[in-house]
Amino acid sequence: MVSNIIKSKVVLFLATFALMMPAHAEQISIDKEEYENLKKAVEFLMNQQKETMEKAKSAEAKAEEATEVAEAAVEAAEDSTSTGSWFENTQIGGYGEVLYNNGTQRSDDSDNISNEFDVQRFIFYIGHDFTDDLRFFSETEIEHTRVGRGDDDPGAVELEQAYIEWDYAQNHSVLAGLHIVPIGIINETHEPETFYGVERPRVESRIIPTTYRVNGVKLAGQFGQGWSYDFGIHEGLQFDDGDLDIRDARQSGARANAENLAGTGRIKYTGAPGLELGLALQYQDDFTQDDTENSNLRRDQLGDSDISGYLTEAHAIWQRGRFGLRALYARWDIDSDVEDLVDGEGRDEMFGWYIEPSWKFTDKFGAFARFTQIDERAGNSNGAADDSEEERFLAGINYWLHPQVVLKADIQLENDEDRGSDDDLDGFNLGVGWSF
Amino acid sequence: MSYIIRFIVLYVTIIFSTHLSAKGVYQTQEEFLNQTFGTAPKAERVTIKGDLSSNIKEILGHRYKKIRIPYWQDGCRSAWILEEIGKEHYITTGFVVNEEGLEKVKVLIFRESRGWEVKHDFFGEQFVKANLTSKYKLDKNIDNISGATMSVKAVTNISRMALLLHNHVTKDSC
Repeated sequence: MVSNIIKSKVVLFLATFALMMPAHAEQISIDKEEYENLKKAVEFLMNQQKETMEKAKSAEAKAEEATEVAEAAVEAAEDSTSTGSWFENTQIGGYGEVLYNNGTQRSDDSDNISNEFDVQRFIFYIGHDFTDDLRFFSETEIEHTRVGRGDDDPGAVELEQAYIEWDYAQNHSVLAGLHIVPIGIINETHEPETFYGVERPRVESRIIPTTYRVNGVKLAGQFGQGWSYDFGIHEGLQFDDGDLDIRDARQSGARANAENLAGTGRIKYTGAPGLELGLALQYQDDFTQDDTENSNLRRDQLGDSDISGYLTEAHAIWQRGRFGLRALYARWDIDSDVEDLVDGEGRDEMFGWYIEPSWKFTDKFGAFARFTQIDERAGNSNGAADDSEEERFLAGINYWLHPQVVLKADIQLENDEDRGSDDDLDGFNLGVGWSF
Repeated sequence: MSYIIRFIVLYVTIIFSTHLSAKGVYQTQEEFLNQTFGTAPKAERVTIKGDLSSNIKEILGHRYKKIRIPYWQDGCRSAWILEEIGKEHYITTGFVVNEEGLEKVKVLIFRESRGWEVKHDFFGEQFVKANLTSKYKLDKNIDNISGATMSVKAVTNISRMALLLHNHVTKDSC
């Protein structure tokens, strides 16, 4: 269109020039007919130019209008993402771990006593924001792929979290429902790409029974420069008729006996670069939950004794550049009456700790070593409590294919005093984990 | 059961004695801009298209939520307010960029349940004078925060995007 306009202007100029020439140059005589023809040509060209200009103006106006409409459409589309529709306020995600364990006893390396593949856990979560200050969150877990009654179906389907959380004030919230107890390092943040090692640290499985979830209410918030608190009242642990280990005492919100509640409090400091310090205390009012007829503990041996206990946990995380360090100590102090229960030897005291230095060579590749010591019957040395201390050394690597997808490998060396050095379980583990 | 009653009384007392407000709004957009410029210049907009669009996708791992992004520029200094999801919710972060690189990184609104530690000044201070490498990475190491891995990743990624946008709008004038 622009070239047409230029052409028209050139022709018009030449025609006008031709008409003007007689006034300024040597007199040229033309007859009337030629003059009329030239005049018509000029008028035609002038009209054509006028039309072309009008069309150009119209096209320009339409282009501007189209741009405005497009911009308005973009802004409307972008604004529509914050209109609060239910699907926009609903989040779906999940994580999972698939592992290979290969463990052998030193007395006979050919005799594999643990050699298996396992989809250890597959979790999906759904959250929903009712408003900016009120939300729902849930996690559902499938363990070991299959659920059934026999040994061939070792799996479980479990609800890990289902709670309503309300931010009742700036930096302060309260939640009610099934939630994870604020204790330890791994219990709350356990997506596989966030920690080293194929398996979770053993202390945070046996002493802190990760994933340790309860029904109850919890207050949480932040204050000062880098301080935060959590305080909750929730269902207690309940010793069953087994060997009284803490992990089996979880009720996990499943028709949980609420005769004797428990409370957990934690203070955490994250106010300095790369540093986290945490201190948690949990009080269990009565492990027997014996105010109910449903208790299946053999409490007839105890009369009306209550068995209370405290769990104390302290941890530190320090990260500076590529260097990382994690250290955790956890300890149970339980009423000594627990000693009188079946399999209660040494159960009045349990403890465990680990230290884990790590180095990240690149953004994708890191290595670690972890030393762990656990004693789940540290109260005395009688019967089953004799030589109950266990030590484990792990070293391995993580390779992040993506920030949320990790490949893991580690080797394991064990020193279990109860088993004797020839029967210690050594081996290696491989794993893949993801979250989204 | 008496301690439960005491707990409930304490809880209700706390609720009704505390000023109610939205969670995690650490600074408003207006406060951030006024703090940065004194009087904020008029907002301009950059359209994400072509190479700019593909480079942002490479940085974030996905398209940005908007096609046209507002920014505020005064000479060779620009301010950006960008959003990226940490784990489940958007983290709103303000950036100021000048000729030396990132001048300021400030989390304005945090909506996640975990990972709020990125609001600390010491976290944002790690980014000061950071620039983009030829592969659109930061030329400074940013320390992770335990329990806030996803939030750290989100803020780090949009800081790279802020630098890319600044370089784009100032390439002919600065």
